Amino acid sequence: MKILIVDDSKAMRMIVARTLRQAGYGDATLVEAGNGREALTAIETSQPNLVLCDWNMPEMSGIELLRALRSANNSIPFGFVTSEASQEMKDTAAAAGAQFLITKPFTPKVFEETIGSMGA
Amino acid sequence: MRLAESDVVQIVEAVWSSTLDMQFERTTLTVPSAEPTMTSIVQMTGLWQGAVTLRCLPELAGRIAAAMFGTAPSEASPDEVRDALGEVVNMIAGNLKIHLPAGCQLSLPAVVEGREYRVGVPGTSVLIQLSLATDGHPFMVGVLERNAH
Repeated sequence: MKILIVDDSKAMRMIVARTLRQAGYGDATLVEAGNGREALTAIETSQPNLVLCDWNMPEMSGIELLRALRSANNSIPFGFVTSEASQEMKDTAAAAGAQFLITKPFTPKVFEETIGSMGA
Repeated sequence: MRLAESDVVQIVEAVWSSTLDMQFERTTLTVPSAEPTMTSIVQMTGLWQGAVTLRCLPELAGRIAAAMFGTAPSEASPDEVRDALGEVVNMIAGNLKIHLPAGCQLSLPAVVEGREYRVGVPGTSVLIQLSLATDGHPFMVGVLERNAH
């Protein structure tokens, strides 16, 4: 399994990677991108099975990335990992085609349950 | 809409325990302005306008970065320390949105460093100021609210 982690914070990318390992995804290949634009390139070149994406980022935000993917008929499984915790953001994410939204701070159990529920 | 101190404390507790694996307590200690300090800030716009700040000494900022990067405090680079401090205040601000009207947007975080400075957002005043400490290292979490016209 290949997972793309998209976050402008290097610290958060490391925490997401560490949490994935703790959640049982230690065998997954992890690819990283620092914003939505970099992620578009990474998705094309790396062909990940899952995208875990922050919401607020410079250059291209997470929701802009998701909308760009879906408008190009790319149905790659996509989940937000974001500090945006409001119901409004969850609704916006779902309407744009996100499979889930994990709120920071998070635990390995949340990752395990959320990503596991997708059959990943 | 009024945010309560307890709302902010609860969010800081979640960030400190889940992300940093640290505890904190209320304190009467303050972060001395005469010494070099670091402040991270995220502004919020929309139906509620204001900002969230986190201020501490570089030593605690280094410990926060070390906890996030999984390194020793001395190994965290200045960029990594700023990144970590910005992400922590971003998490606090993002979770505060649950208590605010829909339609609020967060800015990207910024970090200020130096001595004897004040961080101000024009038109706002301090709504909440928490003095907290982790293992004796003080830090302050502030919520600024734009004044009604």
